[in-house]
Amino acid sequence: MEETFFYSIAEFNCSITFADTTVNSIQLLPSFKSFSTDLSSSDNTTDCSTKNKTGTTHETLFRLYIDDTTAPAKEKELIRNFDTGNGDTMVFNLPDGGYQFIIKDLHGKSCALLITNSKFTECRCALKGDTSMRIFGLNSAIMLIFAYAASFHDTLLIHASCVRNNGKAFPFIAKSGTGKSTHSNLWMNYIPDTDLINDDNPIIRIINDTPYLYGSPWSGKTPCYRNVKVPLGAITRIERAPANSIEKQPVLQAMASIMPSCSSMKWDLQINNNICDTLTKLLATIPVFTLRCLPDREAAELCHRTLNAYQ
Amino acid sequence: MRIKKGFKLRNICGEMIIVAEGSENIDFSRIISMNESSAFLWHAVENKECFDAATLSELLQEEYKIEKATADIDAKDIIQLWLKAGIIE
Repeated sequence: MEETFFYSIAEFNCSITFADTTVNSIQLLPSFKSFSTDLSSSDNTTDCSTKNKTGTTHETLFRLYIDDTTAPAKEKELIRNFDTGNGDTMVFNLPDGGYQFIIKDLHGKSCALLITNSKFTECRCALKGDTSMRIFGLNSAIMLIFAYAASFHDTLLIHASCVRNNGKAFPFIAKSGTGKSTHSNLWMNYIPDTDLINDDNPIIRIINDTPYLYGSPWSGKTPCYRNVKVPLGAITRIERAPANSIEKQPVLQAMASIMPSCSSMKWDLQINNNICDTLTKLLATIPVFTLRCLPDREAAELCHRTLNAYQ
Repeated sequence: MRIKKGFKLRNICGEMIIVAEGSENIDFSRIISMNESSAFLWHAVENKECFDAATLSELLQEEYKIEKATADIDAKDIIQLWLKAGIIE
């Protein structure tokens, strides 16, 4: 029995269909609950170019069909096997400009086969293994699809932990293991009226020249899946240091800081171009800081004070 | 000399920056900043099959009205810098 669900992620409409609801079902997407929307009515192609007042479209960003009988592409060319940190993902080019991904878990077992068109608007996926493998495979697949499909609409999926304070979103970026989450926790403990928006993969979307940060159904190890939209305040890169200091980055350094934190596909010229263009717009409106810090209260207070002065 | 495939000069908020793209450059994670004269030369030769220090020197002499001796030195320097950055071959 086929079943279709609609989600609104960063105000993009996404459609997910389960072909067979015996092994694969909505139970595989618990973190999507608060993103659920009833949009079947606006999901019609004649209305796809109309924009509402916020500049968002009613167009469906992508459609994903989950069907375990989906067969791997016969003709394909391996681009690379990428270590995502959560397991390897193999990426193949398809003759029609689309992609095939094999998503593996940390044990090297393949959990999902994903086949997309070149713009990631039409996707098919087959899942394998036990429930936890299917959850991992499907969530990873949707995250990939979202990042690249949304790149065509001034949107970036970033690797960051993000707090909200005084009505503004403050994402913290850093190399894995540096302490993004730790710094968010320091804000929540010591800076009044602070809450966590997302701990691993928030979304930045520029609407009419204004950047917003959105929560997402992906948040790493912290179950923080909030469907919220907050004006973006500033981006802060965190580095560990023996003393606390903070400085605003010039454009070049800001670009070098943020680029590695954005989900991108360097080999896809169109998507890479989308992401560079969105970053350029972002850097024209949002300050980027580097915070060299200890994991202590003073670091959070220094960061909060500095960022607020620029709002 | 020629520019390696996949190195694109972009204007990012007024800064001229080279960002690598394409499957040949998946591991090239640096970005390269260019000053005005360097960006001028890059644009002038980016679609050329082949260029050398003499090509750049002539471009510099014409654009900046400088003497050949000075332009020759600058052109050689910039080729060395670009080679070191790994953006020409």
